[in-house]
Amino acid sequence: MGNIIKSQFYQLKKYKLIFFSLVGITALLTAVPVIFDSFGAYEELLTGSEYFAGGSVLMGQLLMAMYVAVAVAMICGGDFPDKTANYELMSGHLRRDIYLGRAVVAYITAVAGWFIISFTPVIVMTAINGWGDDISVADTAFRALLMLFPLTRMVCEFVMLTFLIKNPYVTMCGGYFFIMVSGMISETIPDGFAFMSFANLMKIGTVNAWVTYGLHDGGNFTYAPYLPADVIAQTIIVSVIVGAAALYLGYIFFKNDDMN
Amino acid sequence: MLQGDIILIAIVLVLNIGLFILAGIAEKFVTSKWRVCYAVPAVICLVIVTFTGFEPAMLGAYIGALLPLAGYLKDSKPVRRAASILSAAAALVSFVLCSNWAGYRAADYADDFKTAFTSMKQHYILAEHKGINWDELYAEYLPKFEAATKNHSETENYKAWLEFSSEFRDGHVGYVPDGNYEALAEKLYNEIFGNDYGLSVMTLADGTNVAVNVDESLKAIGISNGTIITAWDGKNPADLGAELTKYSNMVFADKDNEMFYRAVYGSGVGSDTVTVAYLDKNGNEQSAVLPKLGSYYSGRMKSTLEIINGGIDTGHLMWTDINDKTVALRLKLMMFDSDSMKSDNMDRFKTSVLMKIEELQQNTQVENIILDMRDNMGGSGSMVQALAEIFTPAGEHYYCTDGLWDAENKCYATDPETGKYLEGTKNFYTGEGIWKGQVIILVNANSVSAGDHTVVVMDEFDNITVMGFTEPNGSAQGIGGVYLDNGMFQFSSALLLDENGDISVDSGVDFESGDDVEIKIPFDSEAVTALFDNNEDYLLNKALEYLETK
Repeated sequence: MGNIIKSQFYQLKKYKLIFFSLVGITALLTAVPVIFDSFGAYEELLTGSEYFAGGSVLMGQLLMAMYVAVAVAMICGGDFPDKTANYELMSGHLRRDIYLGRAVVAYITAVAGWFIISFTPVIVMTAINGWGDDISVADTAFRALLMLFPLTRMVCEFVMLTFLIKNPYVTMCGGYFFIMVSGMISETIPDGFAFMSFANLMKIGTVNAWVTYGLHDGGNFTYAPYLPADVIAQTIIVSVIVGAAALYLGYIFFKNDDMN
Repeated sequence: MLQGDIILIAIVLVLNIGLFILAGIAEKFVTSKWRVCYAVPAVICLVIVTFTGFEPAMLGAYIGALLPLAGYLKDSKPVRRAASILSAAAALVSFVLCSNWAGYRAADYADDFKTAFTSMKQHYILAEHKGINWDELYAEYLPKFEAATKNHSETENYKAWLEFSSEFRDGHVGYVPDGNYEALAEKLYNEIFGNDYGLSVMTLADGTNVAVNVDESLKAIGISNGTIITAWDGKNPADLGAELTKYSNMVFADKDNEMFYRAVYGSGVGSDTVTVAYLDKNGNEQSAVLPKLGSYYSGRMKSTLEIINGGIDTGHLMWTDINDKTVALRLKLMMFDSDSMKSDNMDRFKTSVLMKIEELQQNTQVENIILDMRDNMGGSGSMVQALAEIFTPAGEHYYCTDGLWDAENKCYATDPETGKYLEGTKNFYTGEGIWKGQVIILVNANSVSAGDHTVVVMDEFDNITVMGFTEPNGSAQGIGGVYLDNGMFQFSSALLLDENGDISVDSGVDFESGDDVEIKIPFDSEAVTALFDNNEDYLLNKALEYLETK
């Protein structure tokens, strides 16, 4: 498996689509607030904490999720059209190693990319305007850590999907459809957010705000950084169970697949 | 049962029938791809549960959706068929359980209360002003919500919320349940307010209790509109009503307003009969045992309140010609349209009123405008300002003062020594003196929020007179709210102060609000006759009488 992992990391260089997705989305999501802030479009300075607590991180979630779909689809599915995976089998690699080796590389690439895309704008706005006091660094870090769970689950689901379909471009289309639908309905889901990875990410990324206002004033925002215990518990439990199940089911399918 | 749960059970059943058949087909036409079909119920279950949320009673259906995964893992006909049969059975068990168990999708009202209470304790700006003891309230009310949860009772829940809200004596504190809450309120109020005995009782300005809205059947025993009621099952009906005004759908923020309506609220108290003592036409005390005719709230109380509180019977923002010299503008809300609410720009409202005024000034002899704000539910401060700009004399006038926001501590700033809120931006508006004639503003106890603002902003001017049987509600702070699993709870959270830096309008521990009417029309026997015998708009007539003197 180690050799497969190494070769997959080496192969990442040839996946320009992953690289351009990562750089392009990061640049777009960073440039927008910087430009708006420089033109004074925000009522107050957009600090790093305001950027996160105000939900700006969530604005690019659809793009970030597409990046994950692209990364996983290319890494896990890129070797099926040209039969590289078949040759690996013929050269004696176990199906388990082929599956998990790619899953590991896809996971690392997707998660690293996700955090780069999500938090580069936060870091840049902090460098320009300071962190601020809307939410503490510790609370932000906790939420970022919690995001790992539904993110891991999303990666496992895409891994399973890719090994089922064995075509990266069809997987990307399927992933795009899933993400668009998730994005449209995630705000309407009252209690079942934990059962959809995208909605779960949105839930964790949303910091509840309380607004008070004067007679004609805009509004004073107070953010409540804590997450209820049941939200945390549901996020972790459902993400672990569904993610593990998706990964295992994908492996079972691949293990018995005739690879034609 | 929830539609989503029914759909899930139906899908599980249908799919497992299909999967049972597929097991045989898969044995004949061998390919590893068949196993994907055995994951379909699990995926569909995941999608549906995303919308419906998890429900313990549906565990059978969830298991029924997951069991076919055995057919995914094991490419074996007996395993697949056994899984399909067990899945279908589990789904059916769920269906029976969900259909018959009282705890199915039971609401957790206690959890809602805790959420709302925590938010309110953090953000309610009038806690000190009103002398609120949070610990006492929590200890008193949590058990009520826990009981409502245990009994799966939405009426108990709503009742507890009404009681809790009334503790604050703030018209902005209130709970709105999800769904058809009007039907729920009707059901609850019929339980709370008792029976219809054929009459309501009102307390006149001189303290006498009289019958109003009397059923025809009582005239035979000498009870009609205006008959003096001396006792209700031996008690003063106003005293009986004192315990029931807390269930009013508009929280009373002023004690005079609350006392005005007490007797009406108490006029349903009794059992199958009630013994009413009254004075006949000759002034002799009589007694009658009145049977119940039905539910008091639906039967009579609602209509009594509508007659007392009702404004001109026309639409919001509609003009009505009263006579040659007087027109009326009905204002049921301080809202114009959705665009103006979003942008907070009331230019179009102002233009519409100015156009009407221009027409009146050019083409008619109209000298007086009545702004009928009875039952005005409030809305935009900008609309209050726009109205004031038209009708107040030219010059800069004071509106209110915003509380000073402490951005560091995320709360309103207070004086460290006195605890008094500190003043922020003072708000003024510019009167344009457009309307030169008289303005009468009609209000009642349901004229609230921006309705209260209108009175406070406009009543100081000579050309404007505020009239009503009662003061307006007395709740003028800005509102915030929290969405709960089973409804929404709102309370005062945006601070507004008066010129002296004190809380604007809202009553404190003395239960006396800070806005009043210039002319309080006595609710007397003349009013009773006009309202209940002659179906007149008595307040409007009094306004016209007053205008004749100007």
